[in-house]
Amino acid sequence: MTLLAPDQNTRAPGPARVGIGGPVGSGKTALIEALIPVFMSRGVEIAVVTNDLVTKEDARRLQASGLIDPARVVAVEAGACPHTVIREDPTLNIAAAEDLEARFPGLDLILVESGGDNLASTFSLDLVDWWMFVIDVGQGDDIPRKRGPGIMLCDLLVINKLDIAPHVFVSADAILAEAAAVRGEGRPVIGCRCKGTQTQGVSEIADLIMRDLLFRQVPA
Amino acid sequence: MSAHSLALIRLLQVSDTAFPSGAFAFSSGLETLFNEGRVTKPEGVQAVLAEQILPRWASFDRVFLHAAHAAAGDLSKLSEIDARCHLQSSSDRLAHASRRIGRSLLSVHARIGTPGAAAYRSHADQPDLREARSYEPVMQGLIGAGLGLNVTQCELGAVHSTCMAFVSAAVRLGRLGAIEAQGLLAATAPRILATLEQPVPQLAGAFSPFAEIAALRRNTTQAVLFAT
Repeated sequence: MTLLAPDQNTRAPGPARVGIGGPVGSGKTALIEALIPVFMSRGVEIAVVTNDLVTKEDARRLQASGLIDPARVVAVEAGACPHTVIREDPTLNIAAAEDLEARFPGLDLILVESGGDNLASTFSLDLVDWWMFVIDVGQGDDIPRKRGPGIMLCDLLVINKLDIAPHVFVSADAILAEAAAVRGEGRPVIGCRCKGTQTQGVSEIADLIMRDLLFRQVPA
Repeated sequence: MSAHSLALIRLLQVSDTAFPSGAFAFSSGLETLFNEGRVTKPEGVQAVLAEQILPRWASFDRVFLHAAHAAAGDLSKLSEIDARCHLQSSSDRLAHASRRIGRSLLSVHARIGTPGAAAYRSHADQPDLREARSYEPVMQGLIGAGLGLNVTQCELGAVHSTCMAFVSAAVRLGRLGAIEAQGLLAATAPRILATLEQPVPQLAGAFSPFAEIAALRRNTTQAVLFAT
C-alpha cells in the first residue's frame, strides 16, 4: 500500500527556511535586525518573509533598516490569523519563499517571521526546516512554566531582553534555568539581548542555525 | 468502490476548509463594506453573497474553470486560458488575490502529486509569467480534472469554496456568528443550485461593482484583517 504520493512532502533543494515565532513585542523583528549583519559577515545569503498581523509594519521596518536589500524582504498579508498562516495553511508563506528563491537563486537562508502570537503557535514543517520561539523577560518570569507548544516544541527557545530583567524584577539566570529544565536535555535555550551596543546571544543563535541547517548537505 | 465515489472522496477532501489554499486571507471586499457601514447585518452579508459574489463567480470564474477543465493536459492551451483570465481581470486587487490562491493550490497539489499540477507549476513559475498566470478558476479546472472530477463536481467544489471563504470572512470579522453563518449558507443553497443550473456563458465577464470597488478601496492606513 502506498501511503504517500511519490513526490509528497518533497521540495526542491533550496535555501534553508527558519521560522521565528513568539508573542507580540517579544523582539522577533529586533532579533532579525541583529542576525542579518551576523549572517552577512559570514557570507550567508539571506532573505526575510514577514507576517505582520494586520499591517506591513515589520517588513517596512526591515526594508528601511539599511541592513538588507529591501527586495529581499517580503511581507505576507494574511490577516489576523497568525496561527493559520504558519501552521494550518502555510501556502501563502510557501509561495512567498518560493518567489524569493526564484528572484535570488543564490540564497542560503530564508527567515520567516510569524505575526505576533501567543504561547500556542507552532510552525508547519511544510513551511520551515527549523524554528525558534522568542519570549522576553518583560512578559514575566512564569512564562516558561506555562509551557505551551511554542516553548516546548521549538528547535530553539530564545529568551530576549535580558538587559531589562532587573527593571521588571525578573532574575535572568532563574528564567533561563527554568526554561532549560522545562524543555529538557538537548533542547537549547539561549538568552539574548539584541539591541544596543552590547548584544548578547545573537552570535550563538547564528551558530546554532548554521550548525543545524547550513551544513546539512555537505557530502560525507 | 466506484470511480464516482472515489472522485467524491477527493472532492470532499479538497473542498474542506482544512485543505490549505490561502483563501482565508481574502474577504472579497466584505471588510471594507463592514468598515464603511455599507453592510451591517447578516441579511446584508447574504445579499452581497447572492447578488455580487455568486453572479461574479458564475459569469467570470465559472467560464475559466470550464475551459481549463476541458483543456487539462494541454499545457499551452491552459496557459492561453490563464492569460485570457489575466487580461480580463479588471480589478487588480481581486486579480492578485486570485493568483495567490491559485498558486497556493498549485503548490499544494504539486506536492501531493495531483496529476498535471507539477507540470503547470513549472510552466507558470517562469519569471515572465509569475504575475500573469495561476488564476484560481483556471487552477481549479486543471486540478479538478487531475483529481478525476467531472466538470460538474469541479464547479460544485469551486462555488462551495467561494461561498465558504466569504462567509468565513464575515465570521472572522465578528459580524456573523459561526452557527448563524451555517444558517446563511443553508438559506443560500437554492440560489447556488439555481446558479449552477444556468448555462455556462460563452464569454467571461463580471459586473459586481459593489464588492469590486470595495475591494479596491481597501483602507491601507488602518489595521485591516484581510488582503482584499
